Amino acid sequence: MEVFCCCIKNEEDHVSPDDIQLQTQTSDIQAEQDDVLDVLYRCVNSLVILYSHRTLITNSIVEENLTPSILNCLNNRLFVQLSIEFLRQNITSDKINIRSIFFLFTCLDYSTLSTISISLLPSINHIFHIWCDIPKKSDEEISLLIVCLIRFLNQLALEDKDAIIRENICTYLLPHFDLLCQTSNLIDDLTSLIITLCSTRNGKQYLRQLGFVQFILYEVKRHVQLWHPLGLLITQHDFYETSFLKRLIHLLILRTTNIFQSLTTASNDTSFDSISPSSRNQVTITAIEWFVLLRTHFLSFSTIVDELINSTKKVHLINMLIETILSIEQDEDIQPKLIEVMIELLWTFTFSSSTNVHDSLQKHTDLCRWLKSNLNASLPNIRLPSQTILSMLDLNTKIPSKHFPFVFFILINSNF
Amino acid sequence: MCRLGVFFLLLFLSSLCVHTHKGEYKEKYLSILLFTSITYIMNEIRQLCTTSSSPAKHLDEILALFHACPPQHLLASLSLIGQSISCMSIEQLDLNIINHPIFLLIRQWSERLLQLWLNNGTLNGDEYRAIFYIHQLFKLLSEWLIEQDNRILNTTNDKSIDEIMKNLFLDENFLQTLSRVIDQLIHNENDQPFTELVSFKIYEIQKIDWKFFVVA
Repeated sequence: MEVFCCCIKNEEDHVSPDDIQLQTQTSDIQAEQDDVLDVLYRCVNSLVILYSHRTLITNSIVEENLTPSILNCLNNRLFVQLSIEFLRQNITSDKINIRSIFFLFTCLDYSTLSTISISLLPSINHIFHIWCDIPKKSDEEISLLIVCLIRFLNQLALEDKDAIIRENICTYLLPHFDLLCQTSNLIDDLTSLIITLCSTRNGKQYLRQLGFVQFILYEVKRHVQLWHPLGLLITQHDFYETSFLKRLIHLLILRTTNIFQSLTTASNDTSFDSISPSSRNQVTITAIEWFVLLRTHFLSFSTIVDELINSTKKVHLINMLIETILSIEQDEDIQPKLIEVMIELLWTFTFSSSTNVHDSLQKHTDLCRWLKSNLNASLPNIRLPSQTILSMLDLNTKIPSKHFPFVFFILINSNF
Repeated sequence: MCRLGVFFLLLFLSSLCVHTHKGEYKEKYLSILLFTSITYIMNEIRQLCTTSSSPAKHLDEILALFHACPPQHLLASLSLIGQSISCMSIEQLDLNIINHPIFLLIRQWSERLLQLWLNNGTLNGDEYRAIFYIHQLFKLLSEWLIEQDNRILNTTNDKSIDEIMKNLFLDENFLQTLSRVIDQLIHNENDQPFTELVSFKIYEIQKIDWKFFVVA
């Protein structure tokens, strides 16, 4: 059986035949029991990965015959024990039973992709509980197992939000929330999980009670994805706390001015080398998303609108908004959608009773001229807000006042 | 196909042997000739699998030789075939190889081997090697599938992949065998005292491709 001695050199990322010491002379003798188990684990592992393929995992034959076995495996006490052992020890530790850990990870990935059973929640709850108690350094990487579990929770939340709330699993996300946010690839799952839970009144209330608002506020500067869940979670109640409101306003101004700056830079930069069309496009998309989020989730609070208009110490946000609009509208390549959301933003600000905003608007004669020129614009979402802003400033005599409620009505419709 | 011809010629010669020679010579010649033909098959398979530029071009021949293999050498041949295909790179693997009957054959053999373990609780050296190389092949296939999924959408290709995967793996009996093996493995592991966790000596810790496991 000299055949097996001539091991073919393999690519690095494959487990090459060299890795396994073949007993070349012993084909009749029983293979070592432990080696057999190892190879069976690997074989089963590869097969479960294959069955995780989208074509197979959704098939009823696989669901009926394999899924129960995988769930049974994950619900086994072995899963909890191994997970805890894995979390407590360094990954390179000799004591970790790699083959079972490997397989459990594969099963976890499988169950994340398949029809998920909530029966796993008590085990996961237990694992998170232990994980929270393990001391961590500030620069420590989050265990891969926790990353997988949060991904699993995110999928489960899409199916059954109440189960997650009932098991109170989100409590365990808070003690190391900063570490979780820092972990690459995890922030999107975390954000999505919070957004999903927020979609019901019950879920929003649950996350607020746990204090997610404060935790997110302190991470949102570094992780801009968190703005969306923050917008969903805040209520008028949060503004009673002055430090909270102050920080929120500071961060909102910071984010908005950053967006303005990136827009101006991208639009003024005419040299082809410095900014590629795709990165320019990305700037525009980010800006549109931010302005929409700002208007729908934050400017719906009059407290925030007023604070943003009146906190003019460092930056004058309204002036900046007007200047950015005037700057980018000269750019021929600009997306009309961007102009549209920016006018809508300005329009939202004009509803404020603050005199500051009206002063700023009236000071900018360029803006008034430009708004008037929009009255002939073909896009209604640019024409109508322009009309409204002008009529609010009483500068436009072309629109008879009796048309105003009608215009207003259209605007409301077009925005929601 | 000429290789097969040579093989049958050898078999023919050995049968002639039975008729022409008597007594002690008969057995001797017969065994020499049979040995020659078996060695010939193994050598041919080995040559097709390892020395030719790509075993993919010779899958029909390899399959025919495999069918001609005497039972006691089937597992060794299977290991050889499994090894050679699993040593291909992801770029070399394509739909024609996966769709080849030899792939289904290997899948069926994996079922047989898993059942052997379930029944006997152990595997001999040949069975062990065969399942090892089959596992390598499955691993390559799963990596290849992930690679295909990451590519820009190609619906016709996607459809054929889906069909081939269904043909290969949607088998109730196979799934039940797999489930039983999983249950048995976990059951065995539970029986071990937990404090005596052994390290998994085959894996070198650096070689573990965590990313791959996460992606899947």
